[in-house]
Amino acid sequence: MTMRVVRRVSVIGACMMFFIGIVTVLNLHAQDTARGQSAKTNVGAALFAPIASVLVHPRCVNCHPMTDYPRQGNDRHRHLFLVARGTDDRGAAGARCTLCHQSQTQRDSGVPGAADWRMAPLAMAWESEPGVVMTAGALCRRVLDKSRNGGRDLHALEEHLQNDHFIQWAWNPGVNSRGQARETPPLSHEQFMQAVRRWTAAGAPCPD
Amino acid sequence: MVALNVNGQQHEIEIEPEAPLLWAIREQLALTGTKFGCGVAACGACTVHLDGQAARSCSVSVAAAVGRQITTIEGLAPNRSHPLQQAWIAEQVPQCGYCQSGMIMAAAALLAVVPQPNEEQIAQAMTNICRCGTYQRVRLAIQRAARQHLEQGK
Repeated sequence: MTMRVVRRVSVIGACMMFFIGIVTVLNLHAQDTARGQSAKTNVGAALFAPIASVLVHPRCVNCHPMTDYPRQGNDRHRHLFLVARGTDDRGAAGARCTLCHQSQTQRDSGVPGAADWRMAPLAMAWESEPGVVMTAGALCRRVLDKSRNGGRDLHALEEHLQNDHFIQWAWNPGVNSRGQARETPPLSHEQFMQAVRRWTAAGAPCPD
Repeated sequence: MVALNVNGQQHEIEIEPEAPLLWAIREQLALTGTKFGCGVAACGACTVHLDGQAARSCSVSVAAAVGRQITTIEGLAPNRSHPLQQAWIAEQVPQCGYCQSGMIMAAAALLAVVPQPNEEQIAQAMTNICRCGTYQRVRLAIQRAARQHLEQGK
């Protein structure tokens, strides 16, 4: 009787030890996974931060709003004259973007210009609410989302950011209507592309 | 020399290619119906058509207008017979009149693509500024011209 009890207690003890071991291993694995995820997120935050600093600059995000109108200026005010997005992102009927924006920035008036001047489509909006730019994490995921970014994979994204004439305009925006040079994004285009390449080489991790 | 097609006529003019088209229209070609207002594409007094679309000629370089059909208020219709010009008179739209040629050109570009515009479409298209505040009459004139277009089509 006593031996039987001792054996039963031993079996139960062994089972409990095994269970505790399993739980501990799983827990450690979960911690490792979380730590890995957190490390990846940290890497994402570090690699994407310089990219985000450019994307949320008014020269870029003013034409990436979530609204049916664009914004203007470093204070990101609503585009004057109640300019509207229109059905094709190129303005309203009779008041197309090209009413004022020609294929080049104008020397005398300072009106910005580039070929086929238009707003980014709503799918590529970079605001979380009107006038408020997305967090770096949300922006990163939005930029990577192929259903919203024109079906671009990382290679195509790099190519787009390197060569698109609208993006290049942000670094050559001319002067405003008072003759003052428009502010450019905080990094040069070359520095921006270096940051983009570092980010894509690391697998394009995103911050939280 | 720069070659420009204005109101269906070819012109060779001496002007630097980066100069605003408005200078060529007013100074070189003496078509003074198109007005200088703000010079920064904010008021619309200088509105002309480039290939049928409204454009603010103070912010179009001469070089950008080469090879395109430029239409000014003088070339909108022979004998000022455009339905909008008729409607402008009927509704007595102008007060000082300075902005009105730009207004008519903007309205004509709208009616060319939206013959029966609703109020929102008129508001979105008519971004021109009138210091006399003739906006209500501008809207009435556009609606009158649109009605006339509809009646003529019947």
